[in-house]
Amino acid sequence: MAGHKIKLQSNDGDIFDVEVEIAKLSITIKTMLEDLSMNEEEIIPLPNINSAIFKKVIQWTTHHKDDPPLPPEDDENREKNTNDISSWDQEFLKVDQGTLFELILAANYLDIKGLLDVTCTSVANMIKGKTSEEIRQTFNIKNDFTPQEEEQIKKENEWCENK
Amino acid sequence: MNMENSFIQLTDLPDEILLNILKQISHVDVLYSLIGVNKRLNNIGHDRIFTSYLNLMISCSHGNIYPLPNPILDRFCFQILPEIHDNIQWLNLESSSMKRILLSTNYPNLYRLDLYDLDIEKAKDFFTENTSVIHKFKNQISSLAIHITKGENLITRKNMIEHTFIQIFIIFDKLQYLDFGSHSINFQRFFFTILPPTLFSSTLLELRVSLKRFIDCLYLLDGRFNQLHTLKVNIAFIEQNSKINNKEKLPNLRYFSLHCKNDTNYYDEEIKPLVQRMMNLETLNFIFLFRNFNQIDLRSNEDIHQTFKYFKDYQIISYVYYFEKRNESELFKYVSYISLFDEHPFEHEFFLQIPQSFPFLKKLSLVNEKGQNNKQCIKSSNHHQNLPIIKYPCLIQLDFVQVHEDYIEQFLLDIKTYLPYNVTVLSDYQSMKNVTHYFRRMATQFNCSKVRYIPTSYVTQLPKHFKNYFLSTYIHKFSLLFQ
Repeated sequence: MAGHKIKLQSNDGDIFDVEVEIAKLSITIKTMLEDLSMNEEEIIPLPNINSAIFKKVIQWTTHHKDDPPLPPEDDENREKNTNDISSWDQEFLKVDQGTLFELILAANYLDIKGLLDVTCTSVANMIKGKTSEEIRQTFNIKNDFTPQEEEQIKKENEWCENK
Repeated sequence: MNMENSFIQLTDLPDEILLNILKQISHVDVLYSLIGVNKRLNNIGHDRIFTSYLNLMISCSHGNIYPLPNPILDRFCFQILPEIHDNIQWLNLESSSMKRILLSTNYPNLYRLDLYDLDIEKAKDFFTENTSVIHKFKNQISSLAIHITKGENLITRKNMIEHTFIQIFIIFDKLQYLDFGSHSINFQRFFFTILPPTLFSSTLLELRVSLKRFIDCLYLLDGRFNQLHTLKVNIAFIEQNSKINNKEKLPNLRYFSLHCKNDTNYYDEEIKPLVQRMMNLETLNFIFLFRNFNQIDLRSNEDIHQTFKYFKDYQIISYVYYFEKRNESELFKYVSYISLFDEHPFEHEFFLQIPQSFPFLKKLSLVNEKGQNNKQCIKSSNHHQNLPIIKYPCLIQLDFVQVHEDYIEQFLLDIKTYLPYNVTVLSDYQSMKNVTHYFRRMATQFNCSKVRYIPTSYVTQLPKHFKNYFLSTYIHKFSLLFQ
């Protein structure tokens, strides 16, 4: 049986009917519904998310709606080793970089920890093992160190080595 | 922000999210990949989150340790470590690259060193020679962990371990924490032949150590470590001795953990008087393994409680587990993981007890380098026909950490064991090759066809018939070293 639905509006004007239980996987939306006592007919605007990305978010939350709660965070300083991504999520995340980063921003804004974790892990896996030059190429990053600054760093390191 | 038609890049993400991404990978990976990319990522890489603790080696899930690949090590030694040296507080290093890393720059704030995979002969030089790089850090290291592997010569090895242990207290005069081989499965427990006055510390607060005899534990508690707060000791044998008659109280000791892999008859004579000296003890952790099922004088819970009748302020709970055939009501229904270690052989009858006592066992880890005694008898007398086949109905992982090949055979021979489907089996490749007669042995084929085998040593090439033998196994050979 389908549950109650609410209306959510992306920043490009599209309105989505989403089951309350699925929408509440977003702590941001859950807080809006509970704290602001919004009724079911009101349209909740999501000014930071476009419709294409929101469709992806709904797809992810629908698939993961019955997941058990995530365990509490480990010690902040301990190294994590969480590069495992389920096969469904791997397929879901076969998107271009722009979409992946927008998904991260959406997950962060909507406060959906599971989606934020898996998207961040996906980017982390793209970083792992690459040299700084490969990182620049992969993510189209410009080296903004001037030759003088690079020379200065080299000199400082030499000084350290000779100390 | 209107994200319509946006082409967001990595560098458009706020620092908070970049940190969230980078926390998913090791500090070494963060530094190797981000230092020098651009100013912003370079600054993030220099954050203390990623630079105060560094694990400069590769630690595999099966316990093997490898140095960083040379190109990565070069970049760390020439560029990255000199850049971040002020931030580094804790280094994990392995033997082949530790000197180079320690010499590559100064580490003014380094206070903790964990040294892995140390060959004892090299360790001796490292801690003895006056020119050794370790002396650079004598006034700043307060925490030290040493993980020693095997040396070649048994007799000199024992002396070297003892010598190294003593030498550590001569070098580091601010040492507060020392772990001396307490977790290494290859570590040879040592005993003291000499007890020089230099084996003394008024700063040491926590000591973890593996010793051969109980008397060596008593030596350590004779007042030479008068500030000791926590003692975790692994002992091979608890024997009777009357040489040490030390009744001095140990008022600073709050945590005492005693693990012994062998049974003892000297609980009242040896352990009880020692514990009663620990007048302010807050936590006590005893683990003894009783292998002799027929022994009738094992300590009961009441006996152990009696030891603590003078400890008024703390509730001490003790359990003695008798590992023997149990009634239905006494089964360990909630135990899903068992790690078995011994210096004496495990026979077939022993394994028979496991599923009977732990019917829902999911993961079994074995460490035992002594071959089975009864294996040959069983073979020659056809006695095995009378032995029941052992079934582990819930088993999902079998980890042969450091085992004699007899134990791999014990679990793979179809006349001894029936394994369920899809059990993950971890073992050294060469041992698996030997036990299965180069993946052609009929007697082990049935179990092998059902399991998912993961070699714990590097494999360059598998024979073509391997996949027909291990039908449920898929090995990606390039992933083996770093799995």
